[in-house]
Amino acid sequence: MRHFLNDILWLLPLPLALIVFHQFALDASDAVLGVIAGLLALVMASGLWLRALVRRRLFLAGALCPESFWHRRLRGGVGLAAAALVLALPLAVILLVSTARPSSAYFLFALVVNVPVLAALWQMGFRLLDGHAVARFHPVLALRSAVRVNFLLLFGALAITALFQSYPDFGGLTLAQAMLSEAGRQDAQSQLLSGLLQVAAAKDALAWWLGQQWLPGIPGSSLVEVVLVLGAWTLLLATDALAVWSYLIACSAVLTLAHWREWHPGAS
Amino acid sequence: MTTADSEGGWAGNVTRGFLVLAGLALLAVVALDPEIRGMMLPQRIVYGIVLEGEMFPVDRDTAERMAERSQARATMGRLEAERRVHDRVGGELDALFAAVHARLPDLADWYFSMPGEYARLSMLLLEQSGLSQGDYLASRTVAILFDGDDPAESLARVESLVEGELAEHALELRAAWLAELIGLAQDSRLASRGSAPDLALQLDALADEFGGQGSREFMARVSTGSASAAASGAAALVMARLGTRAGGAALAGSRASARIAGQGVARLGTAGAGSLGCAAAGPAALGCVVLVATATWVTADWALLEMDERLHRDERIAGWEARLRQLRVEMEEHLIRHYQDAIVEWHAALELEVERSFSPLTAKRSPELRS
Repeated sequence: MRHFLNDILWLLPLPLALIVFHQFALDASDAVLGVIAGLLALVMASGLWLRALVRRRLFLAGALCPESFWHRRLRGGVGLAAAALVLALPLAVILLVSTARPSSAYFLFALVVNVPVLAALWQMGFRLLDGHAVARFHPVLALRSAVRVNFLLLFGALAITALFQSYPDFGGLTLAQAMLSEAGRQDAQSQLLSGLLQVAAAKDALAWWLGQQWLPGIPGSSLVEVVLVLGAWTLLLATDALAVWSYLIACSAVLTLAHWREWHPGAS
Repeated sequence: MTTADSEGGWAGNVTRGFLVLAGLALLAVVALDPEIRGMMLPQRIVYGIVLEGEMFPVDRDTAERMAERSQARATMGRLEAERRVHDRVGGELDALFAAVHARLPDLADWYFSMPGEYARLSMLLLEQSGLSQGDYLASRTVAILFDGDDPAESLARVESLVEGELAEHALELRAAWLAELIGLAQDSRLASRGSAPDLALQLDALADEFGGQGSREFMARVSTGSASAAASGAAALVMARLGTRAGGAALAGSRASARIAGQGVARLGTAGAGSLGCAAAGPAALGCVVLVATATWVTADWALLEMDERLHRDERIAGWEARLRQLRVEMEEHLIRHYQDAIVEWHAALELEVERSFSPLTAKRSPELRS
C-alpha cells in the first residue's frame, strides 16, 4: 500500500504540471515553451534510456558471454541515450500540444484519473510477475506491462468519450473548408505553438469531417455495425494515441527515475 | 517490525492516503472546471480591441500603449491641422491678394479718370437724394480689383480648399492611427484562447472622431458658418479699406482745394464768356454762357484731375496697398480663428473619446465585464 501511495504521490506532479502548462501555454513565448519541451523531453528520455538499458542487459545476459568484448561494448551508453532523446523530443512536443489545446479539459481529467490506475496496474503486474520474472528485472517488466495495459485502457476510455462529445457540424463544408475553419480558430502568442495547434486542429477537423460524412453516428440495430463504427472512430482517433502514449512514457519516466536506485542494472 | 514501526507505517499510510485523495480530487476539479482553474491559476487579462469591426486580443501593456499613442496622435493631428490651415489660408490669400495688388493701377486709372470722377459724383448725389439704392462705387471697385469675379466666390474657393485639406488630413490621421494600433495589436500576438476577451474596448467611435465624422462632427462644423460670414462682408471690407466708398471723402481730402479752385475757374469762365462775346449772341446768349461755362468746368476739372494724378497717384496706390495688406491680415486672422476654434474643439473631442474608449483599462477584471 505504501509503495502504491508513494508512486501516486510521485506521479501527481506530472498532471499538475500539465494543467499549469495548459493554463499558461497560450500566453508563453517561444523561448519558455522551448525550455519546457526540452525539460520534459529530458525526463522522458531518461526513462526511455533506463528502460532500454534494462532491455539491452536482458538481451546481453541471455545472448552473450560475460567475457565477450561485445558484452561490454553493447551494454548501452551514449548511443542509447541519444536514441532515447530523439524519440522523446517529438513525444514531448505531442504531449504538450495536446495539453495546450483549449478543448483539452476532458483530456486533462483523464490524465489525473489515470495516475492511480497506472500505479494500481503496476502493483498488479508486480504481483502477477512475482515468481516468474527475475528479481532484478521484476519491477521494470511489471511497469512495462502496466504501461501497455494502461495505454489500452486510457486510449479506449478517451475514444469512447470522444464518441459522445459534440462536434462542429461540417455537413455543408468541404474537407478543406472544415480544416481551414478549425485551424483558423487556433491562436497562441508563440508562433511555433500557434502553428502546431493549427495542425492539430486541422487533423481533428479531418477526423470529424470523415466521421460525419462516412460514419454518421452509432447504429443501434446491429452489434457488428456498432463494432465497425467504433473501430472506424478508433482508427480516426489513432493520432490521439500518440498523445496518450507520450503521457504514459512521461509517467513511466517519472517512476523510473524515482526507483532508479533500486533498478540500476549494475555493471554486469 | 516493531509496534512503533507499525503505528508509524499506519499513520504514514493514512497521511499519504489523505494527500493522494486530496491531490487527486483537487486536480480533477481543476482539470474539469475552467472557472476554478482560472481562480487558482489566474491568467493574464485579455483586452479585446475592436477596430474596423475586427477584434484584436491584446495584453494590458499593449492596450495602455494604444491609449498613449492615441493621445499622441490626437495632439499631432491638431498640430498638423493647424499647420495645414496656416499654410493653406496664407497661400491662397497670398495668391488672391497678389492678383488684387496687380490690378491697383487699373483702379487708379479709373479713379483719376473723368468718367470715374463724374460717376462717383453723380452716384453720390443720387444716393444722397435717395434715387439710387445700389452701391455703385463698391461694385465698380470690386469689379476692377477682382477682374469681374465675385470676391465672395473667391473666398468660398479658399475655404473650400482649406476644408478639403482638413478632410484629407483627418482621413490620413485616421488611417495612420488605425495602422499604428493594428500594428501594435499584431506585435502583441496575444492568444485569444478561443474565447471572448475579458474586457472589450470599442474603438470604432474613436476612429470616427479621428476621421472628423465623430459625435462633434468636426468636418461639418468646419464647412459651415465661416464662408458666409467672411464672404458677405468681403466687398464691404474691401471698400472700407480702400476708402473709395465715399468718393466725396476721397476727393475732399487731397483735392478739396482743387475742387474749390475748379469752381472758381468755372465762375471765371462764366464771367469771361459774358464779357468776351456771348452778349453778341442775342437770344442765344444764355446757352452760349452755359456751354462756355461747362466747357471751362470740364476742362478745368480735367486739368485738375491730371494734376492730381501726377501729384497723388503713387501715394494713393501706396495707401491702397497698405489697406489691402491690412485687409489681408484681418481676413487671414478671421479665417484662421474660425478653423482654429474648430480644430481645438475637435482635439478636445478626440481627447475625451480616447479617455472614454480606454476607460475600461482602469476597471478591475470581473465576470460582468466579459463580453
